[in-house]
Amino acid sequence: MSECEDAIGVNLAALRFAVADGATEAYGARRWARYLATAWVSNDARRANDAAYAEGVGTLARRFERRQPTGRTPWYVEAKARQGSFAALLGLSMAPAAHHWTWEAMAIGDCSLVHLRSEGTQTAFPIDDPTEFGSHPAEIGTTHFSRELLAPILRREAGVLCTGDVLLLMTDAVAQWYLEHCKTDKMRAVEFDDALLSGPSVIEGLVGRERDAGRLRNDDVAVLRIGVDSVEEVSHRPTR
Amino acid sequence: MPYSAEISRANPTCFVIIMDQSGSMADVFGGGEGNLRKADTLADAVNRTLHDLVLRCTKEEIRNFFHVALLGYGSNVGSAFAGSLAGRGMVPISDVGENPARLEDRSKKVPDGAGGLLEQTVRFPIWVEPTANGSTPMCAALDEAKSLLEQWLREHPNSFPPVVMHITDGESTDGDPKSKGQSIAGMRSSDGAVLVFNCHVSSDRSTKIAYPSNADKLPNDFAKTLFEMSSVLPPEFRRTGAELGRQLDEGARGFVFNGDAVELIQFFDVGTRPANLR
Repeated sequence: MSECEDAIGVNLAALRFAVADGATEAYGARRWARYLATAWVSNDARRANDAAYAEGVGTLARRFERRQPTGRTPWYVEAKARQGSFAALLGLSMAPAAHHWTWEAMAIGDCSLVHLRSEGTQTAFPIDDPTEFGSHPAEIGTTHFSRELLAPILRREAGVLCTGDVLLLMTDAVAQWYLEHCKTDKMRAVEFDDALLSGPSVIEGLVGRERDAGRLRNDDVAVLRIGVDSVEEVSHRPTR
Repeated sequence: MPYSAEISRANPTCFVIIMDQSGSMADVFGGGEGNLRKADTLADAVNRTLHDLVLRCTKEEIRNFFHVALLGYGSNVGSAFAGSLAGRGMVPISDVGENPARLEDRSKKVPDGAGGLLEQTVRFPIWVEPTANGSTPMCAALDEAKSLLEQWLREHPNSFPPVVMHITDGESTDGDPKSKGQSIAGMRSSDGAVLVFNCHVSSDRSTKIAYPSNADKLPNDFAKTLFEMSSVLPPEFRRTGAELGRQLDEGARGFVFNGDAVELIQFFDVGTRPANLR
């Protein structure tokens, strides 16, 4: 867990949630993933449109870049820091509308949202096909950052919430596994949900078994489960 | 599926770079690159490749996803590392990163944080110096590489298969290297056969042939020998070729003939990029 590059953000008061996946090979990837997840959940309407979001990320990237290593650092730390950092992000917000609650999601890269209802999967966003996960996903970088680079890789989706719905925010490896093995296998989906509700040791056991069986890629795993107990009340349960 | 093993510290992979350091490497390239000497360009390409491999394994420290052997042949055959790594065979990448022979200052353009570029002096590590002496004992170098790989594969039987990158500008002076190269390409881990790449660099202004899938257009027996010593590229490596802007046919081999300086640098990219870190 000490090397986990994934980050989770939760702001229950604002009903904003995020998972971010720092690139395995990048310098300070965990820190950059945390910056992105924290920024998403700590803000509000200023992130509502793509241009405003890009401007906010630009500020964040410059802050990250200013915290470069100093003093007598090895050449490789200096060189790695110059390359910058990269992460994928999935941000979710919930809000009441006229007669119901809605969710809105924004994704850059392959962290994924799965919206579940009793009859099955309502939405899988931004990827709904497990074969579409690749080794070169879109990412938010700290160097060469510009609004123009972000615009074509930023995606948004929205939906309506009902009592009993579950929203899963997942980083790429576990999202790919879920779509491949749980989306059409209700028993497996229930087993996964029970594990999420049972706590870290149970979910770690399940992840370990799936990795050993070769069904789940050996990558960091972060899952945020949000259960809608009623449309007036929303609970959350983070798992890392 | 072969060539799919995850690379981790518990299950690293390795690269073996074999450099022709014979006297003719002091000649300049023939493709109109000015006065670029083959030995200088090769040493720079190898130093850049090692630099990039170290950085791929760097977080705040260097993690041993890779082991690297650097062999040279010319007046001597053996380790081509300079400095404190001199004489060492297969070296964990953390030792490579921690022990360059020297650091030299280079000028580099870096982002200024406001959308522009800033010229900055950066430290660049040097592990191998340009060398051009003696004949071309290619067979002895391939024997040395095979010996290192045999031991490494015994210790890492389930690794992503080792990649061997051999750069030469001329024919072997100590025998026919074909069977030796094929023998290396026949070694394997449980994830697949060792991949052998050969890059021939030339002082002639001759037609370049890169990653051919058959030997039909090769101009002579030497080119055919190198072709037959070279592995068929697995799909992941062909995809890397596509990312670098070249479409490689199914059956394409890890082989370049009459390569110029640009081709030489890209050759290292094709050989080292696909390794998938976890």
